[in-house]
Amino acid sequence: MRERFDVVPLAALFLGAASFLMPFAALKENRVVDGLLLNGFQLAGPLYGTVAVLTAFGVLTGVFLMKNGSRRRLLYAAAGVVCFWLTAALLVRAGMMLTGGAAPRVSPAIGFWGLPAASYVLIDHSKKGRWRMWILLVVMLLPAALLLAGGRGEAISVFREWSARKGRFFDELIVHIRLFGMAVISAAVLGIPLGILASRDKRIGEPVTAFVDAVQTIPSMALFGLLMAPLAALSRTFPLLRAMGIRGIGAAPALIALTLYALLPIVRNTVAGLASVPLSAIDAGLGLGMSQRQLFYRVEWPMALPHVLTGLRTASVQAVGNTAVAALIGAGGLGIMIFQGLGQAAPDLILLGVIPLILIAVAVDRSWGFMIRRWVSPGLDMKGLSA
Amino acid sequence: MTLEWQNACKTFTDKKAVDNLSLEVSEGELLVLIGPSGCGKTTSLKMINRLVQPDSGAVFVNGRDVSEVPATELRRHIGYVIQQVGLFPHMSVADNVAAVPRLLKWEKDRIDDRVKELLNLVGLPADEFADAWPSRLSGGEAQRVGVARALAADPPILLMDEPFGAVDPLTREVLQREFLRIQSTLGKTVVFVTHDLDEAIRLGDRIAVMNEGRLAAVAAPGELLLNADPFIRDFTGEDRALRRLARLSVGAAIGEATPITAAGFSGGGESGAPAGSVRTDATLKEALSMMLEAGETSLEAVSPAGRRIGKLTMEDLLESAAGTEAS
Amino acid sequence: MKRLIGPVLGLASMAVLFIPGILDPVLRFLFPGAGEWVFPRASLLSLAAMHLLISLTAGATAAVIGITLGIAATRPAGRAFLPLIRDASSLAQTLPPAAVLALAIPFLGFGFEPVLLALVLYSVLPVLNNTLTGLETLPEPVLEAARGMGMSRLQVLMRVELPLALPVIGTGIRTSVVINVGTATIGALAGAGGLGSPIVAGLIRDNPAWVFQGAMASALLALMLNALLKAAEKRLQPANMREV
Ligand SMILES: Nc1ncnc2c1ncn2[C@@H]1O[C@H](COP(=O)(O)OP(=O)(O)O)[C@@H](O)[C@H]1O
Ligand SMILES: [Mg+2]
Repeated sequence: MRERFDVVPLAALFLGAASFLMPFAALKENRVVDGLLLNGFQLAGPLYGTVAVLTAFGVLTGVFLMKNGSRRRLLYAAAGVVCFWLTAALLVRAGMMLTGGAAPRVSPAIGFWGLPAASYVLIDHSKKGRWRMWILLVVMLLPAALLLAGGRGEAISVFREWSARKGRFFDELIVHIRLFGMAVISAAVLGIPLGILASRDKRIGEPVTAFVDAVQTIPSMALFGLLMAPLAALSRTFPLLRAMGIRGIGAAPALIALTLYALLPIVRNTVAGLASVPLSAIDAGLGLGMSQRQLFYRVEWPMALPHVLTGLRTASVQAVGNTAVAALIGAGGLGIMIFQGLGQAAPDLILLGVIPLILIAVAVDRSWGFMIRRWVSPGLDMKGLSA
Repeated sequence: MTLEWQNACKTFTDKKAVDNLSLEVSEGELLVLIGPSGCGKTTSLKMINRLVQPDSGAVFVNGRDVSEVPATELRRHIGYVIQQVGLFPHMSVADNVAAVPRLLKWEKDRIDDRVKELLNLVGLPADEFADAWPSRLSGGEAQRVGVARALAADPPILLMDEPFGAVDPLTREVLQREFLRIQSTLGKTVVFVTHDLDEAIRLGDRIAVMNEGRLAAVAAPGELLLNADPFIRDFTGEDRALRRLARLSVGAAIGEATPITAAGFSGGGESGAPAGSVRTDATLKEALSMMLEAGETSLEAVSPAGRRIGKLTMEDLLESAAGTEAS
Repeated sequence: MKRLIGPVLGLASMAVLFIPGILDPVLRFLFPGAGEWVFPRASLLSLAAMHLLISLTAGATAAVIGITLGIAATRPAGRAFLPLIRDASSLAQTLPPAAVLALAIPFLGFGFEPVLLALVLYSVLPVLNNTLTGLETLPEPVLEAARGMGMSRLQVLMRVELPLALPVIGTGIRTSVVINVGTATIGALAGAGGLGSPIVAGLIRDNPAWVFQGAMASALLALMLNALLKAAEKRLQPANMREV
């Protein structure tokens, strides 16, 4: 068979090119005006322009001239890191081009996303070994972080918004993490035993699955709202509950709704995990003289674990996003900034809420991935479970 | 250890799986349970380690009714091997083998030693296989681990449910031979379920044939092949005379008792013997084949060392095929 | 008898929700203190129609993208992209749809488009994953037989691979549509209308009756679509593969 070109890095090249050909950033005098749109080439100047062109040539060399191997992968990884650096550098340069105004700022425009996307594609394609990914991450983030910490990035819109409300930001961040964390923990504490029970006894299993299924069809936003009325009534009726801070709006309905919402993936996966244990393993376990308890702890649970952990992973990642919606019923969290931003038509403020939200979601997802690799026996097949 | 089913019956929702089974297995005997699929072999076997509770009748181990022994206690002293192997995929090979010793709370060093010893016994070098994951093993290797796991706590009784049913014929023959070797040193009381007649004849001290939940016959392999019962005749097949010859050695047919050597399983006849002669440790089936091949009605019988012993004639073969068990 | 319970319940709930003359007294009974009961700005029926339009458009788009990507990534020429597509789509699933929506509004403006983008990004994964699973787990002997009897690559795809993978792909589409119906309520935040409108208005004005009707209607929509698509899936399955 004819050897094929390694086409994936070419896709990265197109993405990167988009950053240079499409509007990369808008230079604005304040938060709301439409600014001056500049593309990557206009921002780059001779130095960064050269870097960009060299990187593109490097990738092309890798694709057409090099043999597949660790050298080529290293080249792709390096190109990915450079793409990321370029993103930060271009933003900073845009900041230096600002001329004046009440609160001058640089807002990312559509072309901004090209370089980070190219960076993702290249690094994903060069993937090899876990610890290398960590080194790569540090190498990638450190210069950008130093640049921003050194004050060179203060003109970037998100930082403008951030410095205007630092204290509030961290408060809401903590509220957010606490809220989704508590919801996931409660859902796990409830959901795993429920799942085990449901797989032991059909009479419990059917109504439990029907209930968690039904909850999932109610939109998260609506679930928050639906819990407001009964909780408000309870709080009116029982002063003790009111004293405990349980009211129609705020953290209590949010926590309950988030927990209910997180139940489904956990219960479902626990049931599926236990159902996936082959009869022959159970037969063998009993035949060797295990008691029901020993069979559960030594055979069934460890074999169900990949499913259960995947359920926890799905539930946690969803909960991060759903918690943002909880701001609508006064539970606080990063959603506050998103909804304020939407209300004030201020995209920069939206970004201030959305960027940490996405980072938390990705971090939570990756942490579960890490724990799954640690806790699940390597003898088990993880195929068919989402990565 | 002896085993006994006494009028054991088991019905699954209006289907009689085992119907009034009465059978004894003596100490150190290898009893093969054979019969068509669905005839109740597995159910009968599981009555011994109480994975199945008989509706009526009883099962005795060493004279003791098993229903009086706590199930887990009982099972830890009965080895159990199944066709699907049932290795625990989340445990390494070593941990699988160590399962029962751990249940019995052996000390760690003792378990480690035992695991090594067993893996080597079943022909899987411990250095290479102890840390392997079951999903990486071939069918034959997995089944060896299954046997090692069953033998781990040195149980006096071994129950094997079509243990070699899922491996290819060549591997099966190797596993059978090795199992015979292991059994000859360990001398367990074994109940071995199979639906493969050749396997039954090769391994069994006695063969119990089941049909539709009932015991149709129980006999030593040679006798079984002479049994005139229509079902047994049918079950043992058109070529049962050949099977009979396959169980007898040339030496036995000419009055010089010689065991069939391990090599005799796979055509030891050709090895070393000059043309027109056959070794006394070859099977009569092989001798017949050589006669047909050479177009002769007689062959020189020579000892494995090459010494001439006598003459094997077609009459000897006819007599042996029709006659009584000689070995 | 039992088969009729679902449709009858569905129709009854529809009648209660979508006929204002029935809905009003029900809400008055459930939420005596609400002050206003039936959502006044638009009829629940027209909101539901809009909701359906958004979620089905998103579902169809996600299905087309997911199936196309899934097929492309399992062809010899596209195989190089398989790991990237898998990684990127699971990353997309990680992004909260509310966040994507909020991000998209500055670029796409308020209205239908940002909602569509958020929904599509979020719901491509189930279709894509199932397409990949369906196409990757076909028994090799079947494909070999198809190639062996002289089918071209396209014929193998159209006559063997897709028909065999269809049930799995269908399940992916159903999952993604049901997710969309629930998630489309966030459309109201972008001014796209739909059943999110009474929910958002109710949350802001502290009116549980409005929240309730929006929530019930969208849950009903999700359940009914799920049932319908499940029935359609059964038809899609080749007769010999049905419930063995
Ligand atoms: N747990 C069970 N429930 C219902 N029927 C069973 C069960 N186990 C076995 N049977 C039935 O009992 C009969 C004997 O089964 P089994 O002992 O497994 O047969 P064999 O091992 O000889 O193939 C079969 O018809 C089988 O379908
Ligand atoms: Mg059986």
